[in-house]
Amino acid sequence: MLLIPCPWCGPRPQTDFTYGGDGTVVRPAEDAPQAAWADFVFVRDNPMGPHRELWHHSAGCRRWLVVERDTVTHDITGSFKPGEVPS
Amino acid sequence: MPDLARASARASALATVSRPGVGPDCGVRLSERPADALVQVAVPAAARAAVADALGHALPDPLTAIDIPGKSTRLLWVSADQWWVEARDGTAPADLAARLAAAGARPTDQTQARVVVHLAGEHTRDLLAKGWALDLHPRAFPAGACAQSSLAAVSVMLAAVGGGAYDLYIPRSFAQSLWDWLLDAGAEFGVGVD
Repeated sequence: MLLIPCPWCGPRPQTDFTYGGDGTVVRPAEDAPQAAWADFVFVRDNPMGPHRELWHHSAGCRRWLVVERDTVTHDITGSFKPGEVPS
Repeated sequence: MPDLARASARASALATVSRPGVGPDCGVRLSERPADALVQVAVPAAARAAVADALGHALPDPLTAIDIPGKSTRLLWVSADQWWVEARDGTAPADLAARLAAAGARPTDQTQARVVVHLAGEHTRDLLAKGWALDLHPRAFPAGACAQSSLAAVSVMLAAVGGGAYDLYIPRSFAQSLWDWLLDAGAEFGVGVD
């Protein structure tokens, strides 16, 4: 079980959240080529180590957040409100 | 248009549940606490002062609930810029929603969406600990604290109301199931219904 720090509610059990996928993909422009859209919709990296991912606090405040998690150790090193994620 | 008058006269979701009596050894006592109105509001930052004026009290900080002194109204924080307003003074949900909307809030009537169950007794925390992950020790969750999390896998709002008692806001369609769970989980402490 992960203990995920919600930026609004504080530490909450993983079971209160829904995983929302890779938090680093960037939506292409409306007129971007089809290949860019195919990448955006279907293609994901599978990194070992630190990763930023989206989670939804579905059983709590129902807000989306960005969690920084190590995919090997499961260590969580940060969580951010969308729009406040450091680059 | 739904028939609102008929909807608000709807029977309790707990009309058919088992209600064991309170004995001398009851460690946990349950009671249903139906609200007259429960309205969720999203309040834009610019409208906070006007909404506080309309309520006669400032909106509470995150993870806290406030019983407005002298009024049968409770305010509960539910999410960023969102609160519940719970009235027990006979206010009609539509009137409360209209009053809040006039102050610039965006209300959603939740009166029929939640069943409120009051838990009291010396073993209340022991019972909740069986299905609730957050620390409820008064040091971590004092009177006036509230939080939404899962109780026995049902997403609920829990508010500490003082004296070791709690109010549980259960989604209506899960109320019978969670009530049965409370009776089952509380059996070892003795559980009765006021």
